Amino acid sequence: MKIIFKDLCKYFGRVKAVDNLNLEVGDGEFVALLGPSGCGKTTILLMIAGIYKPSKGFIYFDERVINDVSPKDRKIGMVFQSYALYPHMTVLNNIAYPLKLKKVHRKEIKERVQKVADMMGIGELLDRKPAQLSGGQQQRVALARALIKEPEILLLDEPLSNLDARLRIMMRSELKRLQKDLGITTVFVTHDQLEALTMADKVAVVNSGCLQQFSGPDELYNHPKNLFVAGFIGSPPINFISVSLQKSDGRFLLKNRYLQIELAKKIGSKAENNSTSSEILLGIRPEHITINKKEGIETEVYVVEPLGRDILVSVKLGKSMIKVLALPSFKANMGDRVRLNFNLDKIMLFDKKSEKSLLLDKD
Amino acid sequence: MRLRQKPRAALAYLALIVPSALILVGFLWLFITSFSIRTEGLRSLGWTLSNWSFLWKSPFGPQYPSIWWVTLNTLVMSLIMTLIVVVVSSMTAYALSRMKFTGRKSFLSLTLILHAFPSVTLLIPIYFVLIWVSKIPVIGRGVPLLGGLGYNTIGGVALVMVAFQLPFGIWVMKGFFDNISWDMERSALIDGASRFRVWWEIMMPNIKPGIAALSIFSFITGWNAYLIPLTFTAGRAGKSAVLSLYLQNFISESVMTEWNAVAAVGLFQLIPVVIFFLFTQQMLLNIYGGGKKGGV
Amino acid sequence: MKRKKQSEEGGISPLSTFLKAKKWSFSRLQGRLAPYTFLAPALIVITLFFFIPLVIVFILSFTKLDITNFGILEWWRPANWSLDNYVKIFTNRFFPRILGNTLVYVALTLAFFNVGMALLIALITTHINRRVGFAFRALWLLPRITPVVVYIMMWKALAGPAPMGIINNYLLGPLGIGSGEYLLNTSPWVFVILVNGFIGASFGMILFSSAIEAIPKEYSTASKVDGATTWQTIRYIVLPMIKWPFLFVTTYQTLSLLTSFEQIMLLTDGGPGLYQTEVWALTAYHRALTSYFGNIQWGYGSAWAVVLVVIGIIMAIIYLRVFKFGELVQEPKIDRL
Repeated sequence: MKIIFKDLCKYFGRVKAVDNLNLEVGDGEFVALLGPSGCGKTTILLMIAGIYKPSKGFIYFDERVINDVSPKDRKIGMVFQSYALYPHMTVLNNIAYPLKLKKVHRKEIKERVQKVADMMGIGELLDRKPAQLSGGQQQRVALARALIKEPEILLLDEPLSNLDARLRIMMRSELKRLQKDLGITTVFVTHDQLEALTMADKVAVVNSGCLQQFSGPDELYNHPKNLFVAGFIGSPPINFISVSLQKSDGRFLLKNRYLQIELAKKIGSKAENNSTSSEILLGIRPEHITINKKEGIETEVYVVEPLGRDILVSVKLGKSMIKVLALPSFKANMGDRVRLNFNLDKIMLFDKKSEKSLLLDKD
Repeated sequence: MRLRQKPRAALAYLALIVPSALILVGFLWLFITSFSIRTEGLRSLGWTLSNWSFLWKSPFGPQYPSIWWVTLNTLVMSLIMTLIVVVVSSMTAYALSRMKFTGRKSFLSLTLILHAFPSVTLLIPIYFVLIWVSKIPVIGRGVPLLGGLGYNTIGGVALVMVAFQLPFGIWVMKGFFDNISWDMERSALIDGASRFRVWWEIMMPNIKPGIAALSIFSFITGWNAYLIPLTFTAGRAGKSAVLSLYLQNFISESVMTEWNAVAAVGLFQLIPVVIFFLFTQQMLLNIYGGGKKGGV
Repeated sequence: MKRKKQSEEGGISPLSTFLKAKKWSFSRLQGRLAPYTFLAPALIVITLFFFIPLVIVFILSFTKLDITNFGILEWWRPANWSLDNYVKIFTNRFFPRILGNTLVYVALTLAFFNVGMALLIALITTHINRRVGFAFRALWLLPRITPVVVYIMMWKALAGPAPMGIINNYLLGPLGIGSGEYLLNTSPWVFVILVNGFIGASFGMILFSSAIEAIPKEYSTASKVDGATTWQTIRYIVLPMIKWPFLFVTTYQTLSLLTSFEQIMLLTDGGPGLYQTEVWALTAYHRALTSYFGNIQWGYGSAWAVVLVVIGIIMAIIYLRVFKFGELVQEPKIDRL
C-alpha cells in the first residue's frame, strides 16, 4: 500500500511539530524517518497510525484519504520504542490481543499466534509475562503482535534503540530481511543515521518539522541538498569551511586566508549561478581529505585519535578545526606541520544564507 | 552551642512521645475495658467475657435489630460505596487524564474545586434531595438489601458517601492514570480496542495499586461513617442503622460506669479497621501523599 | 500526479462519497461522545449532591421553612424570600460567643496540631531511624482511621473522673492537680482541641515528611559541613524549602477545621455550658437537622450554612489560583478522531 502525505501539518498549541510535509512512500518500500530528537518524526508516524489527527493537509493510503479513519480500521501494525507490551498479559495474550478484538475464533487465534511466534523465534515463550523476557525477546513479541493482523503498513518507532549494541546490529539485518520477505510497506523512525542508511530503501531527513531531503542512502550521503543534511549525515561529521568564490581569468577559485582551491569549470559556474553572494561554505567529509607532509594546504596537527581501522586527525586551519581520516600508517604528533589535499570531486558548496547546496540543478 | 541545643532536642522528643503515648493508651484502654467487669484507669478489676453478650443478645431489647444485622448493613453500605467510588472515580479520572473533549479544562477545575470544597456544609439541602429521591418509584425505596437510594435507606446513605468521596477519588485515580505509558494505550487502540476496552482491559489492570489503595480507603471511610448515616437515616437503632449509630446509641443509653459493654462494641467495630491498617499502612500513607501531591 | 489523485477524491460518485462520509461521521460521533459516557456517572452524582444542593441551600436560607410549615410553605417562590434569617443570626444573643468559639477552635487546633504537631512529627521522624520514624507516622494515622464514635469514646475515658479516668488517675492525681472531676466538664476546650488536633495532625505530617524527604541530602550535608547545628539546618535549610506545602496545609486545614463539627458534636455537643463549645458549623447542623429545642428550622440553619458555603467556594477557588493546580495538567497525547 502506498502512503502519500499532502501538505501535512500538525500543531500542538503554537508549536509546529510537522510543517507542510509532502512525501510519497511507495508500495512495499522500506522508508526511514531520520532526524534529531524532537524533530517531529514520531508525530508523523503517529499520524499515519491515526493516534494524532493532522491539523492540516491529508494522508492517503493508496487513493483513499484516511485523516478521519480510526486506528483500528487502518490495517496497520506498529512497534513502539518502549515495545508497549501489556504487562499483565502473557506473551500469548499479548500477540493474540488484536485477533481477540476482531472476534476471531479461538482455535484460529491459537494457530496464527503459534505461526507468527515461530516465525519470530519466540514460540517457546508464549506462557511468560513480558517482564520475564529480555529486551530482544520483548521486541520480537512486539513485532509478532504488530504482524499478526497481517497489516498492510508496518510502523516502527525507534525499533532498535532499546537493544544493546551487538543485538542492534543483528536485528538491523533481520528486520531488513523480514521486511523484504513480507513485502509490507514499512515506515520507521530513528535518530541514528547508521540505522537509517543501512536498513532503508529511502530516507526522509526531518528537522524542526520540515522535510529536508527524501532520497536513497547514497544520494543522501553524497549529494545532500542542504547544510543540515550534510551536517547530520556522516560520522565523523563533515567539515565546513568558510570561503569566498572568486572568478578570475575564467578560473573559479575558493579562497580564504589559509587556502586557495581551483574548482572545475562545470562545478564553479554552477555554484556561481546558484549563489546569492560570493561568501559561501565549503563542505568536505573527513575521508575525502588526504594528509601528507609534502604538498597541499599547510596546517598544524591539534590532536590524533586512533579509531582502530583508521585514525582521526584534527588539524587547525586558522581558528577552525578540520577533521581528517587517515591511514593508521600515518604518523603524526601534536604540533606537527602537515599538509592537506581535498578530493575535488567530492567537495560540496552551500549558500550561507539559504543553506542550500549550490551544486544542485535548478528545478 | 551544644549545650543550648540538647534541651531543645529533648523537649522536641518529649513533645512527640507524650502525645504518641496518649494514642496508644486510648487503644489499650479499649482493649482492657472490653474484657473487664470494671476498670480504674488501665487497671482491670476482674476479667470477663460478658461484655461481648451483645453478639448473641440485643442489648436494647428484641424490637431492635441485632448486631449482625447492623454489621451486615455497614458491610453492604461500605462495599457498595467502595465499588461505586472506585468505578466512577476511575472512569472519570480516565477521561480527564487521557481523553480530549470540549470542557475538559473546566471539568478538571471543577473536580479540584470540589476537592477543596467542604461538602459537609451541604448536608441540609442534601436532606431535601434525598427526600425527593425517595419519592421516585422503585429506586427510591424498593431495592432489595439496599432498601433504595432515598432518605432512610442504606443505598441513599451510600450514595451521599460516594458523592463526598468522589472528588478525592477522582484526583487520586487521575494521578495513577497519568503515570501509565501513552504508548501502551496507543498500541491498544491500533490493535483495535475501543476506548472503553482500553480502560477496562489495558488501563485498569495496570493501576491495581491505585485501585487497592482507594478501595481500602473508601471501605474504611464507609465502615467508620457516623455523621452521614446519622443525618440521613431515621433513628439511631432503626432498620438501616450502621455500626457507628448502634454504638452511639449504646453509649447514650449507658452511664459511665457501664462502659465495659460499650467498649466491647467499639472494639468489635475497630478490629477490622486495625487489621486492614496493619496490612496496608504504607499504601494509606501513600494515598494521602499521592492524592494531594498536586498541591505540593 | 498528486493533484490528479486529489481531484479524484473530490469527484468520485456521489453515492459512495455519501456512504463513506456517513460511516465516518458515525464513528466520529461515537468518538466525540465517548468521553462524556465516561463522565456521565460522576456528572449525575455531582449534579445531584453538589449543584442542586448548592442552589437549594441558598434559596432555603432566605425562607422560614421549618418542621411546622413543611409541605405548606412554598419556599421556592421568591415572594416568600427575605433576609430575616441573616438578621436573626447577627442579632442572636449568642452570636458573638459562637463566632469567638469558632475562631479560637480553628486558630488553636491549627497552630498546635494541624500545622505545629504535624511539622514536629515530620521533622523528628525524618531525622531519626527510618523504621522508627515510619512507625511513629503510622501511629499518628490511627486516630484518622479509627471509627469516630470509638475514637471519642477513648477520649471520654481519658478525660473521665477519678478513679476511672486515665488522665486523672495517672497524671493529675499524682501531681495533685484538680479534684478528679470529669475533665470534659472542667476544661472542655482543651479536649475539643486535642480530639480534633490528633486527627488533623496526620494530614500535614504526611505532606511535610514527604516534602522534607524530597529535599536533596546535599543541602543538609553542606550545611552541617559549614558548621550549622541541627536546629540551624532546620531553620535555614528545611523550613524555607517546604514553604509551599506549609502554605497548602495551613489554608486547606483552615477550611476543613472551619467546617468540621462531627467530633465536637460527639464529644461535648456544644456543651457542657450553654453554647460553651458550640462552633459555627455545629450551629448550622443543630438548627436544621437535630430537633434542638424541639424545633427543626431548615431555613434558619441554611443561613448559618450558607456563610460557610461561601467561604468554602472562595477558598477553593483561591487554591486553584495560588497553587496553580491547572498547570500540572498535561494534554492528552491521543487525538480524538
